[in-house]
Amino acid sequence: MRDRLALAGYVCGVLLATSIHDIRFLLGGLVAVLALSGRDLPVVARRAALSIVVFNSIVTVAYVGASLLRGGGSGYYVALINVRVFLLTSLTFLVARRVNLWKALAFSRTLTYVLALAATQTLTFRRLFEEFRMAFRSRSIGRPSVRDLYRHAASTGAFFLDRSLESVTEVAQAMKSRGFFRA
Amino acid sequence: MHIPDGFISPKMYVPAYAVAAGLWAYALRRVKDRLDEEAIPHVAVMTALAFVLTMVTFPLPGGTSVHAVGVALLAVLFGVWTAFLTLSLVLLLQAVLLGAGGVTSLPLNSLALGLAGGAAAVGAFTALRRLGENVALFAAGWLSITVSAFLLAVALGVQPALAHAGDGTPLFFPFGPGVTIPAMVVPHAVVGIGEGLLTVMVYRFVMKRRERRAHEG
Repeated sequence: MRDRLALAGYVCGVLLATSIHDIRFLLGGLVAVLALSGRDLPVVARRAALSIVVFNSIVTVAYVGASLLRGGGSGYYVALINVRVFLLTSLTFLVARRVNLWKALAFSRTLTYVLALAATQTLTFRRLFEEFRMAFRSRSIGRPSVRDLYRHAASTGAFFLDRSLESVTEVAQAMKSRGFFRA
Repeated sequence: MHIPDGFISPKMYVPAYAVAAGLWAYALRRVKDRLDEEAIPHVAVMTALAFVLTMVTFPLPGGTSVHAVGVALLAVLFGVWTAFLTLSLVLLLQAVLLGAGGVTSLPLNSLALGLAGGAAAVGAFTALRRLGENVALFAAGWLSITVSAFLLAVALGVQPALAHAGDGTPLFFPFGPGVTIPAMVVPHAVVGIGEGLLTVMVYRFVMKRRERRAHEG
């Protein structure tokens, strides 16, 4: 129940953060989110900053540049958009750290199973992908050619395609043998 | 390519959620009707596949490399609805776990990349297949990226008109379609060449492996 309430609170928080355009309230919200992060504060703030820095910098620099060229522009907008995006991203990371997503989504059995299965399969695939990448790097003398890079990318994609088709059958059989479809 | 959090007004993302939610439910029903007991594992494993396809990088002229999207491949091989569902789940996982994209932009990203991109890919593949499978696959890969980029550019470009202060100051994304469309479509038309090549190559590799296995078996 706690997780579902937290998820509902998160949805309300997102709606508020995108409906309020007074920077003082958004800054207040940001301070509240960072305070709620407690000992996770450095992780939440760092991850949020890293994930937004590229896109926000491009938009900010382009906006300031265009304002200087054409005149007009608003420093308030620059502050508003950056605070809003930082607030939303920090809030998302905080919720991801504190809320058990599986429990929060338990209202839908299908969604819970799909997400849980997808997450576990994704972790396995990610590990395998990293192994492929390292194997390619360790077997390349010098810088690989464009042709080799494409061939490696394509054979990796093809491996995972085949692997995923095999996994579907395996997972379906495992679910069946555990009585999932009778429940 | 996807839009991050905070640049889309609730005037757009709330109705977009309503549309996307209906289409997600419809897509899941379509997949369930087709696959019955395999529907849940199919969607889950294909989500993992879509996730890992977005990790595959390919080089572009100039020494840079970009990440694949893989939606054309998913749509051509498994259908538009599977591509739409799995890419939406990937975007959700990326938003929540990695902070890439975002929850406010999730429905728009899903509709543009998963549904429109997937539909464009299948449309191109079906229409051009008589010219040869390679041509059709390349067009599917290229078009899936370019169509998605165009739609996302339009979604971003209408933000200043949709949400602005009394003095005209934008409240979300600041640039209009005159800026967003060329800024997004032109680079993605180049990226689409790589995606098209990769779509052809992965498809060919899969077919070759299957032929070899059939021959050995």
